[in-house]
Amino acid sequence: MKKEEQIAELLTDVSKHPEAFRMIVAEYKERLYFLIRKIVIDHDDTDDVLQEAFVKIWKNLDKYRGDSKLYTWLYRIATNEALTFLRRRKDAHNLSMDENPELINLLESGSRTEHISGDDIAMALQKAILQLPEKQRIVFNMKYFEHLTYEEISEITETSVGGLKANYHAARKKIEQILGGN
Amino acid sequence: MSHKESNSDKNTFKVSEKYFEELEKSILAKTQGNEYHLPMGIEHPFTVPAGYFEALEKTAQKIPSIAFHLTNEIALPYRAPDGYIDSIDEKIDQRISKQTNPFIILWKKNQRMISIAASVLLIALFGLLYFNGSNYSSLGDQDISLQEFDTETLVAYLEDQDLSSSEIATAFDEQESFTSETSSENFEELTDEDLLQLIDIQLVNDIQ
Repeated sequence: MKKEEQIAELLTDVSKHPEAFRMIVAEYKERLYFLIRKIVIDHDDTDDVLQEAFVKIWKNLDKYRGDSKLYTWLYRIATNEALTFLRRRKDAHNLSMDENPELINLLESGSRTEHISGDDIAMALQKAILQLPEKQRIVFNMKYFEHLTYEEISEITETSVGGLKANYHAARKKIEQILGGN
Repeated sequence: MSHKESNSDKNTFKVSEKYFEELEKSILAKTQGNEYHLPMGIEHPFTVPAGYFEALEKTAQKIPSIAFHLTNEIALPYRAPDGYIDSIDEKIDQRISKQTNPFIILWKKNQRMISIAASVLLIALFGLLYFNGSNYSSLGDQDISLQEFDTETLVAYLEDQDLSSSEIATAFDEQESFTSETSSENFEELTDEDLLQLIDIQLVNDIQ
């Protein structure tokens, strides 16, 4: 039996929730870390958001009904938590969710630390991604880096598959334009 | 008169008789069947500033081409600090332990049983109130019980119970809810009407 199935079975019994939660943390901590990191960029911010996301997952374990895949439910909570974190900070600085000057600064300052590798093309791609509107950025990250299907992304973001395809292709085209120098 | 003769007549310079014939033959021999071939190894005269090509290569890596096609191989540049991922479990465990109220865990685990027990307890309390009114003190929270009923209902209830003045006084003493002005009065001396008036005042105080 797969880990995800084991966890889903434990979640059907409230008395086994602590055990299920420990398995969730062990199994998904790394994936959720990088999912959040791609959204908030900075390591310390990611750590804060990840902890909040896990606390929320713990508090809502009894709401997981098993009608969606466990990881799409976890990804949804983590993505929402990361976006809420950004929204709060952007509101404080009167920034729209589609502009990310503070994230580009964090990326550039982080590139001088050990938390970001010095790969030029990888950095150029990240900077291009940060120039995308919020929806395109989220969809592009999930499709390009997580290799999720449109159906899975649709479950996580609660958006139609058609809308996701349009957003992904627009994102890809814009990134190619930015990296191509046009 | 021939052209040759006329020219030699005008010029003071003279050539040998067959010179021009020899010249023509000589030129044709040099050019016919001898096409020009550019020899290899001729160097161009242009130079570039020092370090120009190294800089160009770096620029080209940043912007691979004008018509850029995104491949699916570009990795993430983000790294977690050493040991961070392994430390997450403990961090989360601490956060959850701090936030978890034991009553919430008890409620989560035994939600159904607690609901049933609470319902039974409530029914028992109301039963005691209605069927064993003389034993007021057995109810835990008199203020809450009294506030749930209007004055007329309570008066009718007390009248039905056939309580003596002293019993009513005792009941209110135990509630510790009388005003200071009335607490020192001797209830034995009050009429039933006075007592009912006092109950009214108490109810108004409770509501406020």
